[in-house]
Amino acid sequence: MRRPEGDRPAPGAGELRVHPRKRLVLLEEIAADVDAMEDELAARGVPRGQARAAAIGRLYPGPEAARELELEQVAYRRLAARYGGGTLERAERLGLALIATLTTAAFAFPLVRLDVVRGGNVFVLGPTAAVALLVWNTLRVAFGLWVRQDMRARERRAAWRIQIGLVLVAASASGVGVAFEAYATAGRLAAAPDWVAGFGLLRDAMVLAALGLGAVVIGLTGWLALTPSLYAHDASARPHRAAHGARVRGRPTSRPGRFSHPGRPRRVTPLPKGGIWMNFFESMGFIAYPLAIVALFLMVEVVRAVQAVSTADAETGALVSARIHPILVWGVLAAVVGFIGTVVGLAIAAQAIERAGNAPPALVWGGIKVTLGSTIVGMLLLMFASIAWLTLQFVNGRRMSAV
Amino acid sequence: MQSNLSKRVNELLVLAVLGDGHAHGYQIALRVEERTAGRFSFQHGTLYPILHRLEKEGRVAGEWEDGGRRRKTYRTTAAGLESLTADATSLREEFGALFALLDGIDDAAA
Repeated sequence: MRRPEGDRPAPGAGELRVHPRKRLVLLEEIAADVDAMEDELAARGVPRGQARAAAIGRLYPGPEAARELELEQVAYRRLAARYGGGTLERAERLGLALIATLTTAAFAFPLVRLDVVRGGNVFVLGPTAAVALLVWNTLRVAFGLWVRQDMRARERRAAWRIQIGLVLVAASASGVGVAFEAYATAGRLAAAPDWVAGFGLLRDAMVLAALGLGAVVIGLTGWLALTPSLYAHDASARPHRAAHGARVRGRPTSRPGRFSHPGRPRRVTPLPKGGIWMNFFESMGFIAYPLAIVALFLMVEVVRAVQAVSTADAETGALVSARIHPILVWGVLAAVVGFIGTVVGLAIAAQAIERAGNAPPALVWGGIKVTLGSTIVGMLLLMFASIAWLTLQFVNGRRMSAV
Repeated sequence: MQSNLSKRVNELLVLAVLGDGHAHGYQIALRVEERTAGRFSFQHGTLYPILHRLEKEGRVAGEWEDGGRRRKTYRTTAAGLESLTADATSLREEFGALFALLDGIDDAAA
């Protein structure tokens, strides 16, 4: 029914509180009808711009929901975001989660095959089981979010609690194993100082730590890969978040509730929630994935170097030093990747400020703070790599001089 | 009362124009405007919740057309036609009573 402007709030947001899957269908229907109505009004002689505005005014829900639709609704087959992102975004996120999983498996299985993880070490079971469950949980959520598209908020929250729980189980299980091996090493060395046997036990401890870290990386990478979809769906359940809780990439709307051109792709990246660590990792954006992969390879190199040092003899000892250097290479690479993330983040922030024309200093400095996150992580990895490199060089030097 | 009346009128408008044949959502909106000389129109997407409610209740049936871009068309069902007749009769009676009351006021004022 026609009512005077401002007579009452326009309906829309309330009616759109439907299940995400139905909501997708509704948006698709409305978008197709808007285009068709625009064509028909234009065919009747209405100027194209007015026809578009008239179609939107009749068919799109009220201002609040219209703003949300403007941000989220685009042509279905374009690459820009809808719930769960475009096809390429889905493949990208799922692919990254799978790559992280396969990478970790590729690093863990040779250790078992080469008998680095010796038979009977029950502490290996904890991280291994956690890895399997993390992979299962990640794929389950991915399937529910992107294939079935019917995962309810309660199921998603439960899935992420399971994910974090498994990450903690993996970390604690490997921590217990490391502590036990360290205790055994100390006891054996105290009874009879034998550096070779000591290094063997130390190697086992490092392997356990690497397995635990690998499980943590798998869990967090899967989490990072899937959470943008998770929060996009949450925004559908609570439409006000799109207006008040979302970071919007793209040109800002000059007139609230109006459409500059609904066909223009826009991306909505909801702000993360759920604690300081989650916010920190999520704020790094896409650069978090290459950083995670570099960190994983750094750990692989550390384990390989420890193995090389512990098994070196008089003939091969001189070559061991060369096996230690890749640690430093991966550490430097992590720092470079982190720095690139900061530079790219600053460029994006500068572009956004330029478009906006003006930005409060607090917002600018907040953006700079966020962009520095990847550099901090990269530098921490470089520091870890440097310490590992120095330690192994020192131990190797001591061993060679003893030989 | 007002919202209930508005809801009933909106449903009647949709069912009445769908009596002309199947139509897309935007065609329903345009037909309502044309056939009521602009006195009634759906604004801000109120049409779609009504259509989906009627579809859920079985009074209209929606089908997706897959030629090129997917579009959804609606048509009335037998239950919808029955509902249209019953609701129109009921509304006529209610408005008849209302107009009779208003006529009485006009007569008294005269």
